[in-house]
Parts: sequence; structure tokens; C-alpha cells
Amino acid sequence: MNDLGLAPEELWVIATCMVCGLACAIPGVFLMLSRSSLLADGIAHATLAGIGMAFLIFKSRNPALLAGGAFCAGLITVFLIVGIQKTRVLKSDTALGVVFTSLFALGVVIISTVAHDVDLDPGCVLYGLAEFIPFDSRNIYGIEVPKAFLSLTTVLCATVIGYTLFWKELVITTFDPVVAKIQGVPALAVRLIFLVSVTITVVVSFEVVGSILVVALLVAPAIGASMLSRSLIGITLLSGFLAVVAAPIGYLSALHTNTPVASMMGITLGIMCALAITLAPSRGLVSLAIRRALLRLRITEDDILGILFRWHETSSKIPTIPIKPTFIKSALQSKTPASIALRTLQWKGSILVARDSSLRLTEQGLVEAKALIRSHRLWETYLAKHLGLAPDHLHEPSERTEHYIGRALARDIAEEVASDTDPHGRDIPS
Amino acid sequence: MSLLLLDSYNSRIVLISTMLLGMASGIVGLFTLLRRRSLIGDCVAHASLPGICTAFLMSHTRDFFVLSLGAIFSGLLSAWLVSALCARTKIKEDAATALALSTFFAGGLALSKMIQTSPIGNKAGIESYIFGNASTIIQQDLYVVVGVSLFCISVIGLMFKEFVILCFDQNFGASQGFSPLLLDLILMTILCFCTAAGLPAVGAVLIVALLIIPPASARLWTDNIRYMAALSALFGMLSALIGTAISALMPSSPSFSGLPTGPLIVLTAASFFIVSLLFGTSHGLLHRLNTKGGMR
Amino acid sequence: MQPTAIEVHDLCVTYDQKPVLWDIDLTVSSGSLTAIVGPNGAGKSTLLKAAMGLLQPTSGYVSIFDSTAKRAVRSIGYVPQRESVDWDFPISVEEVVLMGRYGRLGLFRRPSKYDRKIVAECLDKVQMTEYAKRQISQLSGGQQQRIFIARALAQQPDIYLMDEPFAGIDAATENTIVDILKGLQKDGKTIVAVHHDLQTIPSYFDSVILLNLRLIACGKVQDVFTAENLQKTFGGRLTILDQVTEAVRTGQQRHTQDSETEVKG
Repeated sequence: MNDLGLAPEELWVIATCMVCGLACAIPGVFLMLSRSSLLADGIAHATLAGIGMAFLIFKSRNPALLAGGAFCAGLITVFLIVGIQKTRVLKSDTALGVVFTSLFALGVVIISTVAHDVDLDPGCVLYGLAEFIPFDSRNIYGIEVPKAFLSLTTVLCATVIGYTLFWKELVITTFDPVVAKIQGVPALAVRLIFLVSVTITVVVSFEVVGSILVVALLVAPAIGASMLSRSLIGITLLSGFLAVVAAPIGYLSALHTNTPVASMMGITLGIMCALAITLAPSRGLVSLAIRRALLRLRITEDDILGILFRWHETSSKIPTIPIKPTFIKSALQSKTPASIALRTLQWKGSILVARDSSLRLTEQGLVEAKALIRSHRLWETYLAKHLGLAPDHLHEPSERTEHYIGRALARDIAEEVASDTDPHGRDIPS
Repeated sequence: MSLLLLDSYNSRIVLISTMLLGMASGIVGLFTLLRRRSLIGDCVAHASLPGICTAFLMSHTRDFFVLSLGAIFSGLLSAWLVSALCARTKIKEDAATALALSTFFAGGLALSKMIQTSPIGNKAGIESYIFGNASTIIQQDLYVVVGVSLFCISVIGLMFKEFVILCFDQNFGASQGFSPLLLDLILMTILCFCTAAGLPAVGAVLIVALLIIPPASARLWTDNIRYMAALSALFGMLSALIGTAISALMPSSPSFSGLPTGPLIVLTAASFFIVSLLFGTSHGLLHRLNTKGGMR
Repeated sequence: MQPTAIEVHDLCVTYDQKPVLWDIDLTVSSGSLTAIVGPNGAGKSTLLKAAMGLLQPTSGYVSIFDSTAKRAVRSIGYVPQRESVDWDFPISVEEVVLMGRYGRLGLFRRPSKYDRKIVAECLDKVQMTEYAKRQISQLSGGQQQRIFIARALAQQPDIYLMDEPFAGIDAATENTIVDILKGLQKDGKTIVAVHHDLQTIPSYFDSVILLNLRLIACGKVQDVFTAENLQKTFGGRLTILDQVTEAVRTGQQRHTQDSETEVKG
């Protein structure tokens, strides 16, 4: 059936983890956008108290009862946080911190006291029981389907349907609750229903991945996806994709290192996020660094063109002395080495390097340099005229700004200043 | 019963060290709370687990001093990551915190499982750093805990006014020559120290409670920051004392391994908080009801 | 001619790649009482922050009594906008004012009796002595402003930089603050305050800085506080300047951040 040599039970584990990841990834996007990722962390911790209490009261391990208890605990968390904030001096993050740690501690204590009665222990609260999913299964049309898979699939379907139906309400409430209200969207109700859906997802996922790692499933795919896409639909789909991919990778690496599946899935998602943050094509850190370096290179190139142009301008009146790269290097104060900029300019065909290594602008380079000097001098003129700057204060700001003034903007400035010479009396090239 | 507890020299030391820890974290937590960084403590605490495990895997000793170095290192790393993510990308602080917290902790769990199944000797008790267990604490651990707690308390004591100005009005502080960056770094560092010191008794998952709950309780009783610091230290100390005592006095049998210390300390702190929330003389809910009735 | 207290030379400040102050050149002479005037988003607070060295300028510098802003920072008393702090913070009026002494104390040292005496005097000057022990959340807007001013007074600086000290306060507080400012000027202190109410400028201040991304004018009220200059400050913005500002921002952003707002065409 497969090349990896996995037993059907193992495939069921992977499938369940995939469904679980998918079910978490979708609400995770909206948690991230509404800046309440840590609330999910709180709910995830607090549900433990609910599970413990439900067990204490009903003395049963019936999953429906435990899930019900967990669900109640999640709701209580939300209400307690609101209540504590009523004191005004304790802010939302403090309230959250107080409530979830207390409830989590309560849960651990309850589970520890009853641990000899049930096969629940504080460890599995953290690790989740992904490995044991296949041992609790139900026969459906002759196939042994794990119960966790069934419940997670139900949650996933409900999530997909719910989010599709209420997509626009959810989007507007997340983005701008006030405008949502004005438009007649019951913002508070939408927010509450959303939090309820998060709680349900957390409760059902809890058994598979444990209470803390469910946070990774909720938050990490959304963050990774937000680095890769800009559209909301794109982020949602991508985060689902990341979660689904993380499941088999996490399972296989857990198998090889003999570690819990859930924590390996968390690590996989963390690595995916790190990769997305560093390598994302348009907003990744690496591409930003490259673009910053390119900008510096371009500015250095501009500066070299400027130096050469001014040299030509003055040397038309006095006998030509060839300009050498060493002069350029000493005249520039840029971080990019002048030699690289010189080479790229030569490669682009803007400058020529003669045999005696003296430099000259080509026709094309002359055009480029003219445009640049035009921007520079126009801006100097503008600053002098409209900002009333003194002549000795004009060069520096123009030196910084000249690189960004395009042709259209230069034309506008030229119309505004209506002058052929700059404040120093030099011609503005056209 | 309490006689039993104070009988052995070792349990006395355990009590004293957890009380000191409670004091230290109460005071340090006061400033993270006022700086509105309460939950960064959660991140730092969870992130200390992989640090401990890595330190153990590298050194093969259970010496708490070595392990806590690992904890402090990875805690600081996570705090730095969160602030770097916020500064360099468009990721918001809460998402960055949750991301760092959960993935570091995932790493820690995986590493601790590896240690358990590995043939390395002398590994008993690594797992107890997750929930904390005062009974596994040995004497050398205690010296570290006592030293670190005293260090944290004295740093805050010496730089009290600087931290107050940082939390209240950092721009004004900067205009007076107190660098917010440097002060924040110091605060984060002693936060990591405190977290590391709390690992043996309270554990990585719940130490943050000792950083949040005592100062939050203290806030409800007073508007004076000095009283608040004292009260927060007191709440932290009492929670640690009562929690540790209950955990130590619980009978353990072969089928019942006893209650972990961390959750008990946190529950004690939580009961102090409930009392404060209701009866706090400055901002407690009853007080608010009263003043509302009286004034409006 | 009075000696120069603050010299701003060629100052450019950029926020998020967007220039918010263009090449500001001005001097504030010692012993003057100067208002900074300009529309919202003109860079008034930014100018104050840059003057204290809290912001790293893109170019240019600010010198205070001929030394760099960073070194002279303790000779500056800063009154931030009231909204910039959390008024639920658990400290008393007295302690906020005492913060004004912290810069002089330096690390680790605790305030002395002498410091407390100064704090008491400053509270007296702003007529807040009876509130000394109050928690700051119980103060009205005017009272909050008074203790911020008392805190700056406690610093005993030579230069006061105030960000909207007259915003949202009652008439009595406004009069008190004006009296304090005039008194300070009599003692030879230099005061620069961001101010919104154009009507009161001639009576409250003797000099004015008109600002709108660029410097419009700077000088004595009678010389530069003219209808023409005000028109330049508040009237139509310079479209070209805005366009270039935007071009610089997008030009750099395209390289340093992801470009959510590409320039079209």
C-alpha cells in the first residue's frame, strides 16, 4: 500500500494528525489576526481543569463528558478574564495569566489524585496520545476507524462549513469590530461564537497533541502562511497546507528519534515558520537583506555616475584629466565597495574603463547621470525656493533624495520651480 | 505534622529555598506585570525546558547549576526571538510569543523523551523539571536556588527606582539618561534567572504563575508600589510555603506517586488571588461595589 | 543677542522610512519662551524627542548649550503628553514628582531628604501639596498635567521641553501653568512648548516655531507670527513635498520592507 513501509495503524495516526492540524490551522488564522493567539494558549491550558472536574463528578472516561467539561472550562476562562478586567487595574494579559495557570494547576492536581484509577497522567496531558489513536477505534463498514479521527473529522467539517458560511462576518469583525457593528453585524456574538469554535477545536485536539502543543498547531501555520501570502484566503489555505504537510514529517521524525509525535509535529511547524520567516520570497528576512544590499548598490552606482558627470561638466572648461577608480573610492562614503558598483556599471554599459584604468561615461551612462543630476538640482532648487533652506544646506538632503525622484516627479518639480539653474548657478540638465 | 516537616534538615532547607524563590518571583513579577510583559514570562519558562535538556545531554550531569545555565540561555534566546520577530517582521507580539513558547516547549518535550529512552545514566529527575517536585531536590540544587533568589531580590532592591521609571514612563526615563533597552535587558535576564531557579520546585509549565499571581493579588490591596512589592513577595512566599508543605505531607503509596509541588503552590497562590479579588481593599470587587454605591 | 540654548542643524527624521521632518534648521535663544505651532502630523512631538536624543535622526544634529543632545540630556526637563503613561500605575503624586530627581541621583542611589524637600517645593509651586499622597488615578486632567510639570521642575533643568502642556485642562490650571512658565523665564530658563491655541500665543509666549514637516518660520512672536506665515503653516500642504515624501518611503520600502503600497504608474 505504501513505500514507507508503514502499518495501517501508523497511517491512521498520520491521517488523524493531518485532520487535527487542518482543524486547528483555520481558526488559528483568525486568532492571529485578532491578536489573541495567547488566549488560545490560555484556553488550551484551562481545559485540563474541565476534563479533571468532569472526571471527578461523573467518574467516567466517556469522551463526550470530558469534552463537555473541557468546553465549560474554556468558557469559564473567558468569563473569568472579563471579570478580572473589571477591576480595571489588572489588564487582559495579567487576567489571562492568572486564570489559565490556576486552572491548569487545578487540572494537574485532580488528574494526579485520580491517576491510579485511570490511564490519564500529567505526562500525557503534555505529550498527547497520538501514538495510541488506533487502539481506540470503531468499526465502520468493516474498517476500523479510530474514534479520534472521527471526532476530529466532524470538527473539521463543522469548521469548514461554519467559516465558509460566516466568512464575511468573521472577516469584518476581526478587522474592524466597530464598523461591523455599524453595518449591523452582531460583532460580539460573532466573536463569542468564534471563541467557542476555538474552544471546541482545542478540546478535541487535546487528546491527540496535548495541551501546550495544540498552541503550536493553532499559531505556527498561520504565522508561516502570513509570511508567504497576503490575501486572507491565501493565508487560510496555505496554513491548512502547512499543517497537513507537517503531520507526516512530524510522525516520521518522531518514529526515527523515538520521541512523541505531537512534539515532533510542533517542532516541524516551528522549523517551517522559521524557514518562511527567513526565506519567504517577498517578505522574508533574507530577501529583505538582499534588497537592502541592492538598494545600497544602486545608490553607490548613482553616486559614481554623479561624480563622473560633474567631472565631465567641469573638465569641459579645463583640460581633461582622466578620472581613476581610486579617486572614486576616496570620494564615496558608501558601505557598498566602490569596486563592485564600478563593475556592475561597466557590465550595464554605463561606463567605460580605459586601458590606463581611467573612467568615462558612455552615451547611456550620460543619459542616466543627467537624469540623476537633474533630480538632484531640481530638488535643491525646490528646497531653496519653498523651504527657504540656505545654499550650504542644500546638497546633503538632495544627495539622499535624488535616488527616489523618478521622471514623472522630476517633471512636476520642474514645473513648480520653473528655473534652468540651481541655487548654486549650475545648469539643470534636461 | 508540621513537626514532621521541620524534623529533617533537608526539608527545612527545601522550605526556606522555595519561600525565597516565592519572594523573588513575586518581586520580579511585579515589574513584568507593570511593564505589561506578564506573558513573556510564560514564554521564557516554557522555553527553559529545551535548555535544561540540552545542558544535560551535553554535560551528562544532573548538577543544577549547569542545567540552569542552559535554562537561562534558552529562556533569554526565546525572549530575544520574540522581540526580534516583532521588530523585524510584521508578526504581532502575542503571535510571536505563542509561537516561541509552543515550539520551544515542543523541542523540550522531544529532548526530555530522548533522555528518558537514552542509555545515559544519572538521568532521574529531568522530567520533574516540567511540573516540579520538591522531594527530588538535593542539597546542591538548593544553594543555586537560594543564591539566584537572593541575587534577583538584591538587583531589584538596588535598581528599584530605575525599574519604576521604566515601567511608568520610559520616555521620561530615557530623557533622564536611563536607557530603556538596557533596563529591559536586565529585567529579562533576572526574569530568566528567577524562572530557572523555580524549575526544581515549581516546574517549567507553571513557574509563570508565581510571576503573575502574587503581584496581581497584591495590586488589589494597595496603590503604593512599595507596599505592593512587599505584599507580592509575601504572597509568593506563603504560596510556596503552603504548597510545598502540602506536597511534602501528602502520603505517597506505590500506586500514588504523590502530588507534584508546582501545581499545589500555584493553587495556593490562586486562592490568595480569589480572596484578594473579592476583598482587596483598593480594587477588590466588593470594594468597588461599595464605592460605586456610595458615590453614584 | 541672547546666547543660544538649542541649536538644531539640518535635522531630518524618518519614521518607518517616511520623512517626518525635513531639514530643520533653527536656534532657540537662552531665556526664551517658545511655542511650537503646526497642524496635526507636522512633526512637533518628533522635534522635541529628537532634541532630547530619544530619536536617531537620519541626518543633522541637535546641540544643547554647545554639547550633544545625548550628553546634555540631564539639563532638559521633559513634560510628555499626558496620554503617554498609564494613570492606573500604583504610585502616588509625590513619587511621580520624585522621579524628576532620579536622573541626578544616578544608579543605585536613593533619594535623600534634600530631594524630598525639592519635591515638596515643586508640588507647592503647582499648588498640589494637598494631593501629595494621592494615587495618580484619582487626579483630574489638569492635576495630572500639574504633577508632570512639577516633575520637570524637580529636575531643576535649564531647558524645559513640554509636549502640549495646555491640552485638555481647566482654566485654573492653565493660569497656574502660565504663571509658572513666566516665572521660569524670569529665572533665565529656556522653555519650548508644543501649543495648539493660536489665540493665546502672543500673550503666553515670546517666540514661536512654525512647523509643518519643514520649518516655516522661527523667531520672535511679533516678527514671525504673521497671517502669511500661519497660512503657509496651516494652509495647503506642499503637494510636491508630500509626493517626494511618499516616493522616498516607497522607494526604500521596496527594498527594506515588503511593499504593501506600490506606487502606481
